[in-house]
Amino acid sequence: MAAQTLPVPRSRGAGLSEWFDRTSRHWFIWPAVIMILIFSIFPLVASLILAMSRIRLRAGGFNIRFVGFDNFEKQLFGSEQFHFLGTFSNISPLGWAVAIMVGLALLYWLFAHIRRGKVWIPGLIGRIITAAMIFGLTMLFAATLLSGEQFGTLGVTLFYVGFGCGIQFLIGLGLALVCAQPIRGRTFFRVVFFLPLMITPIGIGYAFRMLADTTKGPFSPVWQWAGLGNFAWASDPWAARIFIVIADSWQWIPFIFVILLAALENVPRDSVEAAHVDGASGWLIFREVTWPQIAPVAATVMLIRVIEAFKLVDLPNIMTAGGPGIATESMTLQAFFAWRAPDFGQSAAIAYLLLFVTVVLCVSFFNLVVMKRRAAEAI
Amino acid sequence: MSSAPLQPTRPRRWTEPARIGEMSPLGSIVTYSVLIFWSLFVLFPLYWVVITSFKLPLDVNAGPVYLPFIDFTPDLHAWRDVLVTGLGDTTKPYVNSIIIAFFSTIFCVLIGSMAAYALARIEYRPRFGIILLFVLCLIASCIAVGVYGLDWR
Repeated sequence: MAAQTLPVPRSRGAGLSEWFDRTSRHWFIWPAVIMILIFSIFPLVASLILAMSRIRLRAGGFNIRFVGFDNFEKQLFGSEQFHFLGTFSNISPLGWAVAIMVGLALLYWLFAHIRRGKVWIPGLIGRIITAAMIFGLTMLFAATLLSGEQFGTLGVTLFYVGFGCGIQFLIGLGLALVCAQPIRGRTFFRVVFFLPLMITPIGIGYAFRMLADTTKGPFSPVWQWAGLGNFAWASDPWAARIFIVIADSWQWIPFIFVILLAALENVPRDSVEAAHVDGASGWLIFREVTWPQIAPVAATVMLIRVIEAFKLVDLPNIMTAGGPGIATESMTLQAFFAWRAPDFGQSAAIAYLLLFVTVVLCVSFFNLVVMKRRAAEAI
Repeated sequence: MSSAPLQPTRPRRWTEPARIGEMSPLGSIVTYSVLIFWSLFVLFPLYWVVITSFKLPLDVNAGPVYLPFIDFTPDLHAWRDVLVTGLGDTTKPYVNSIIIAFFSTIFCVLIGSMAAYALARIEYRPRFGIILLFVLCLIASCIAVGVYGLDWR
């Protein structure tokens, strides 16, 4: 719908109400603008200043000194590199193989885009940035995990995002499909399934810490029977990470479930019934009829979920306090520990690196997946 | 072809629904079991937390006990500590949470809906002067603090 301008009164009698009407465009939008300026833009700029400085608290105030990119250098190349990126010395052959394959695939993708015709320069620059980020992360993954070394908080955060959100999407979609069937008591199930989202994350952290205890938790007979009675899950990096993913999934699957259920209920029954009458199997109906209609909603809900998953901090803090060593520390948690140290410059630098990774990945996901889905749906 | 009205036939296989728009018997079993399993998965942590709140420290540490009145006798000492002896400590954060949630929701809905209406209905052209002024302010503040060491306060 085209935006309409409010009619400007041409009469000479300019009372207060007319003046109000004429300037209403400002009255409506300035509160939001001011709020965003104070609570989003100013902290962004202040964080950037902090990230490029070194702050020391002293009696009666603080000293601040400009140091340029030192904080970033420390995270990426310097003494905190093991913490942020992970330890790596040599890249194993498997790592090289994966990195080269991904690199070639990305180059092919870029060239196919260029060869498609006249190219919009900002779009090309965006794709190059996306390809560079994906290649960088693949190199990190190849150098640390595939070479038998540990990865740091960047890798842990990406693990929570990738693995966690993947599982949440699959389970959420499965639950939504199951709940969209003609069942009785759908409202009951909807309410029950939505409960975890209403519980405070710290409560969930403590609850799952209680549940996961191998001697006092409710599953200890199961652990004993499986021979894991003395297994301290909190001291094994991967077990700890998986537990945090389980707690995170328990909390956020309802969000994906509710939105996908709404999308599934909007799929018109006629097309599904027509396909059923034509003899299509359930899987075929899903693939050809249902999925294309819920794909835009699924892409949007996953975008929101991924942006939120990058900021995971309560669960690792409560459940493992960063894990054995730094094994479950997400980037936000590392920033929090640095802030508590107190080293505000480091904290702001880690936060900015997280912002950079999140923005590149999410904007590219939005432009390449969500917009394409929306365009396909519009046709 | 007989002219008798069509009757719904009994499903011969587990995988055929009795009518279009219903689930097949096998489908029903799978669906309901998935739903019930997930309901248990959702409700069990909550149940565990609730009954643990009624347990004595001995019952908590000795090993898992699952059923109130059967495995252990529920005790109200934890609730007494929180709600009776420590009432001042409990109500303050609670009231804080309610105030924060209430007011932040009101602000968000109010300001957001006003801005949404404005953005949808009124044509805004980004005026170059205002944007330039804003960017200049940002740059000026960065330079003032970073280079000249202007005090934050």
